[in-house]
Amino acid sequence: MEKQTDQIARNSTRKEFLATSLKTGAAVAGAAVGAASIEGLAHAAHIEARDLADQPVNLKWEVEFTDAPDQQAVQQYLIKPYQQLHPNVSITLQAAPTGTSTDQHLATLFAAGDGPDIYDNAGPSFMPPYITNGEALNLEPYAAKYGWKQKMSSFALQSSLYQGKLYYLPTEFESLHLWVNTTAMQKYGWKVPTTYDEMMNVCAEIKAKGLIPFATGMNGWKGCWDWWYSYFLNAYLGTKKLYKVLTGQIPWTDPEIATSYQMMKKIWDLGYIMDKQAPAITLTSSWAIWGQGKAVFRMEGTWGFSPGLVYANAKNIEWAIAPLPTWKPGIDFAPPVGIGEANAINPKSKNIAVAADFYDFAFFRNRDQILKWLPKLSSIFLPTLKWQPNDFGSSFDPRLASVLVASSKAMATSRAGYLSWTAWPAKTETYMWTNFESVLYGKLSITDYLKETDRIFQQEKSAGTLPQVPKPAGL
Amino acid sequence: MATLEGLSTPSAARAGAASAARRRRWRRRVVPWLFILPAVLLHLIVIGGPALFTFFLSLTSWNGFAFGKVIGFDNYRQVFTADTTIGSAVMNNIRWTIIFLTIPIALGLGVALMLRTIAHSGVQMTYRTIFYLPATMSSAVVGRLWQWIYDPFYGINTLLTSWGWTGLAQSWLADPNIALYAVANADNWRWWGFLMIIFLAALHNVEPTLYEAARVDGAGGFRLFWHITLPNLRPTLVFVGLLTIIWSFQVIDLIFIMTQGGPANATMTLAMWIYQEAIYNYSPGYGSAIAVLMTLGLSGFIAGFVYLRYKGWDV
Repeated sequence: MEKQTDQIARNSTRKEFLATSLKTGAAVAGAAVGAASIEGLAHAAHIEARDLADQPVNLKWEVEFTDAPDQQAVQQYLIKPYQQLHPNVSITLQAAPTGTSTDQHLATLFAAGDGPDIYDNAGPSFMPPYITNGEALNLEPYAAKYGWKQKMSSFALQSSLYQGKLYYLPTEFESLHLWVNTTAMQKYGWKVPTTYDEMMNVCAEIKAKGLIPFATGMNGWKGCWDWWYSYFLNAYLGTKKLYKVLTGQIPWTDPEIATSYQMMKKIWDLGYIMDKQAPAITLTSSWAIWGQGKAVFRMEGTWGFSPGLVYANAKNIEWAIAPLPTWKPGIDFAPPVGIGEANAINPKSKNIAVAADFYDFAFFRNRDQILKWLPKLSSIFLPTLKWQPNDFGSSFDPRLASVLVASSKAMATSRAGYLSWTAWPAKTETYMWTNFESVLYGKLSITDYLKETDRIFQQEKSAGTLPQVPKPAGL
Repeated sequence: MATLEGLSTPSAARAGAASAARRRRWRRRVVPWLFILPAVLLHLIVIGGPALFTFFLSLTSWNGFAFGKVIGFDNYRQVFTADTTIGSAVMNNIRWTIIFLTIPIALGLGVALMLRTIAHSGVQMTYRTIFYLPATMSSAVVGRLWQWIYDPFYGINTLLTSWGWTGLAQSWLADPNIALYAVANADNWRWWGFLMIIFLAALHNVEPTLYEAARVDGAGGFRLFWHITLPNLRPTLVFVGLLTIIWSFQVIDLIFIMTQGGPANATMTLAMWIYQEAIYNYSPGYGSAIAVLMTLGLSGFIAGFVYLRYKGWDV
């Protein structure tokens, strides 16, 4: 026992010496090439030192998903396989308590000096404050070591850079689509709408039959309203114009943006969205209503596969996923695609190299495992890899496979629209969803809403906290 | 020997007595403070420290991450000049206060008066337990329960419609004109039973001979209530009123659970607005400024209460 302890002590001493030597060497070399390189080389030294580690390592991982089945699946398909390869590493999942968003919880933990080793936040929009406050590690050295940038689609990579550097890994691959209750559509002979006018006509017919055109629920989290303006701003302005808005070349007070809001308000005023009861209904209840056939459409993202299967299968409702209708003829509308979660490493973690290795495993090396558990989940922890049709076996739900392949292709070719939680700056995004209901209910004029949106956006632009927005093809 | 010398001199005896008197005075003045010192220290650490820190934060542009910089009273200026939501939040707090200063107090007092007339202690206890039960439930349970009751597709509306009372079926939590009252109703459901217990305890302390004497003089039920019950309940009523005002301005729990301030800010209150600004909107510095102003406003009510007591009012 004593011998073993001595051996560990000698190993530790050697490791510490190696780490110190490497860091010193890195620092000396770095002095010659500049401060930026010092950071990179010091990290590289750290990687080498920690790769030799065989002592117990515990990584605290703050995750956004709180449902028990999701956490169990991550344990089974992600953490357990990694621990089989590295028995000395234990990974503890932690999540924000009910009623608190991950962003709020993380801010509190960091303010208290108790930040997790690695964390999974709500998307690129929310990352700049962490980066500017030194709570997200510059991942460039690890990206170079593991070749991460080559494995990501360009859209995902561009969405994940802050001032040209990689600080977080895009995690949840998300895109918005029209979810259709085909049982009802076939029963009444309705056609899936492809334009705004067609959508309004079929919604009127659906309502006349006593059904709800669009099911959704905002009770518990009003932030889901951002799905709607993410959709209609892309569908009315088109990708190229929206890119110009998001980069500050066109103001938010542009008349076309106001028009798109007026069109949205018309849909709300006519009761096509959850019979105007969305603020009183939870998202889960809205799934139940849709699954029971009481509603025909959902304007929903890829995260809805799991509840879609559960609630629709319960009542044998046939359903399909269709492209969202465009709101303006001839516009360059591409389905909004984005990154729902961003995984970063706490620079103060004592196990940075292990954390980076785990991320490499989780995001890139573990591709086969991801395919196993993906259909069972709400697309959580879906890395933004370059998916191909032959990646998916015959048992894989073809609806999910087709959406993943299409979105992957859209991202690879930069023909994708923008999701607010990926491409909007944080304060602008928060103002827009917290006040969206006021616009729908007519308590706040569209003009005032957009004026304030623009004021906040310009402030964030001046402060340099705009997220990097991938440039669309052809611009 | 020294004692003998001391006793032998009258001036020394006087000095000794004076010293003993000083010690007694010191003990009387200081010792009570020493006894409450732990509580004072605890209060300073738990309440005073964070309160001062909140005031400091209100003078900064803290975004929840980096402290930013000290910006003086800019946050306070913003409250009065640029915040378009805070006015409606204050109005909602006032509406909430009016509701809770009337309905649950009237209900609690009325039921307490009725229960007092029940002679059988077991029956009275049964009623007290039933009425008090909702007060033991957590906000999370009450909030969820009433969300289900108000559910537009499965809740009480279904029942009302099946009875043919379609006019009473409302968008309880989705109509901005109704939502605040719907949430207040849920809060009142668990609150009035607590007030009933307080009033019942206070009623037990009213001297029964006062009622007997008044009855002999021919006083009826209303006169008994107006001239004996109410004056004797005045301290309790003032205390309950003060608590109601303070708690009404702090209300957040059921609103957070049931509506999160919506729809369209219809249930936004000051505490909810502080939370939204501080947490969702990355402006804890600004949220702290609202919190400080809210504390100052509520301190005015407490100061009024203290002043009345100082003036000899029996409250």
